[in-house]
Amino acid sequence: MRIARLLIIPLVLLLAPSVFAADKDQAFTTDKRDFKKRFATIALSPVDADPLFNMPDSVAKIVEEEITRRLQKRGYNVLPSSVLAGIRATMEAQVGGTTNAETGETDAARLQAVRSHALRELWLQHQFDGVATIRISTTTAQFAKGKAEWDGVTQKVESEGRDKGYGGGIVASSISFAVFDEAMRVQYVYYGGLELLQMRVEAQLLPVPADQYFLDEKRIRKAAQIAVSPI
Amino acid sequence: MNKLALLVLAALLLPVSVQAKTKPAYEIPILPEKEDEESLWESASKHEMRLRNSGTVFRDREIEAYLESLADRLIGDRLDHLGIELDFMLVAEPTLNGWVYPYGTVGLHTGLLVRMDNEAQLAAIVAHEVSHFMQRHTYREMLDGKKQSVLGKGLGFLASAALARETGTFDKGVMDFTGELWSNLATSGYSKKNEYVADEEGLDLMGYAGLSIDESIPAFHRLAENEAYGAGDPRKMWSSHPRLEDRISNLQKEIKKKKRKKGHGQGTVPESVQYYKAIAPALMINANLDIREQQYERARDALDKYVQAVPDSPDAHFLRGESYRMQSMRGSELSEAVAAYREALLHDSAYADAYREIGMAMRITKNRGEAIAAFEKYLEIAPEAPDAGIVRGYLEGLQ
Repeated sequence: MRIARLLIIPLVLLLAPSVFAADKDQAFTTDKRDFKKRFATIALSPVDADPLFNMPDSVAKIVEEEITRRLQKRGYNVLPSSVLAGIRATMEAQVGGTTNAETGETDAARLQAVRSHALRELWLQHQFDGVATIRISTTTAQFAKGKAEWDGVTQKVESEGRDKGYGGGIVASSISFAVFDEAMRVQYVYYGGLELLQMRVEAQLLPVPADQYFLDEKRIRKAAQIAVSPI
Repeated sequence: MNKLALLVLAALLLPVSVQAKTKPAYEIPILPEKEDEESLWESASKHEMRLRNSGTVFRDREIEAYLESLADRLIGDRLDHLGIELDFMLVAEPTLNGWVYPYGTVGLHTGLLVRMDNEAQLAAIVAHEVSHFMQRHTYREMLDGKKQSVLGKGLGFLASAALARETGTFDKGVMDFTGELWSNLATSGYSKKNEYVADEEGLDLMGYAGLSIDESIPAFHRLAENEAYGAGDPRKMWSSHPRLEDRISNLQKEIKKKKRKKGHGQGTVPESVQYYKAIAPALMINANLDIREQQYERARDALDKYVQAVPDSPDAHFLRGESYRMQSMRGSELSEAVAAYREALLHDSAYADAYREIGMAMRITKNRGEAIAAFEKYLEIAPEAPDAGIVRGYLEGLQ
């Protein structure tokens, strides 16, 4: 029996890529081989997240680390997000800040000016081939029999009380990795599932408390790895 | 034959008996004719109001008046007894789409106006929609839909699902879209038979108006260009579906017949530039939309047309430069961008943004002197611009 299991595992590993192959190819809006030739140097933007996540800097660091590792392993030159962040900081100071000192509100025109000039300056200084955005956002996962599945991951649906057989949609988070060319046309986009943001209590889906987000470092690393796995 | 195929076949056969009873608008004394048609108008009117309140409708009285006069020429006096005036609603959308509400308001995307090369081509599309109105096709489709429901709810949805599967676009978005077309009298899809009727009658209307019916072929070919606006877009299905090719091939046959039997071969192709003048604001609006959609060549096509109509517009030249610059910040695109910015300055020597962009380009090509001169001019004209501090930073770096 043990031998049979050992045989089954490699078989599953062999089959798994073919199951996901179609989805991974769809990550590219251009030919995959062409992508590698055209985007030798990829500049990373700072990891961004929906405000609801209140994402700690340590999470952004882990995500960027994983993505950089994978890209470098595949032969890409990676420009860390700190370069763009540095340019943005300088330009923000040059325009006198992007917040209106009197109202405390964001000055949309200045913010737009900083964003637009910073990216152009980054290109002028480093002549990158593509710029990548990394974003943590919410999505809907499908769940059944106590297990949710989305964007290449599965997770047990925490459930209190009866009615565990119920299924449907449940809110989750994912990491997206997108690469744009210099004309800001999307060339690649793919998602790695991060974690569930809801749990079942009796017949209801309730939010997971925000202080419970990002506690599982392995999940964070795995989500980042999946987001760049087609590359 | 499987069950689904049988259901689809049943759905396609049902409309025949109903359609025979519904006369075209020019053969009846009053519109709406019956209570259910009046309800249909009310429901369509709500749809129109929602669209008008969505912020995407673009009002331009001159373009609307031009379109109304084109519709008048196409219809002649055929609808005078009904006291209905056709009117137009323009939607700022870069895709190519047109439709008609059952009471005669024609909706047109700016993308459709802009991609046509002359009035005769636009007339082909407008005549097609006007024909749907005159034939009361929306009402007919509604009656067909009622008949369908005798067989049970969801039959139309199954038919549309089968259609979507045929095209390889069997996803939820397309299912919803086509299901809606079939059962909710949506604005951009009719049965194959009704589309053919509108195509053929549209040719007659063009012929009566003295416009070249041959121009309907390039006009319909243009509809296939929707593909560029996104693979997941359900609109793609209608434009790239083989059905469009079938329709064009049917149109070609009909054109031959109409020339032979009705003498519609003498129509004219009005000068393109007159058409561009008539729709000029739409050309500019759509160029901006296309740039946002990263359809740079299309944006330039619209701007080229705009410049033919309004040759001294600095905005058109500047935007043309932006389309090149956004496409690529190197090589020939950068040179073309600079040439367009300089052209903008020829028409307005105080065009600040053109100076800034020339400065940016000169920085890339390491023309220090020209970059400094352009940035200084920018700051002289727009010292309070939101990015003035950044440009001062560039200047310090250069000096």
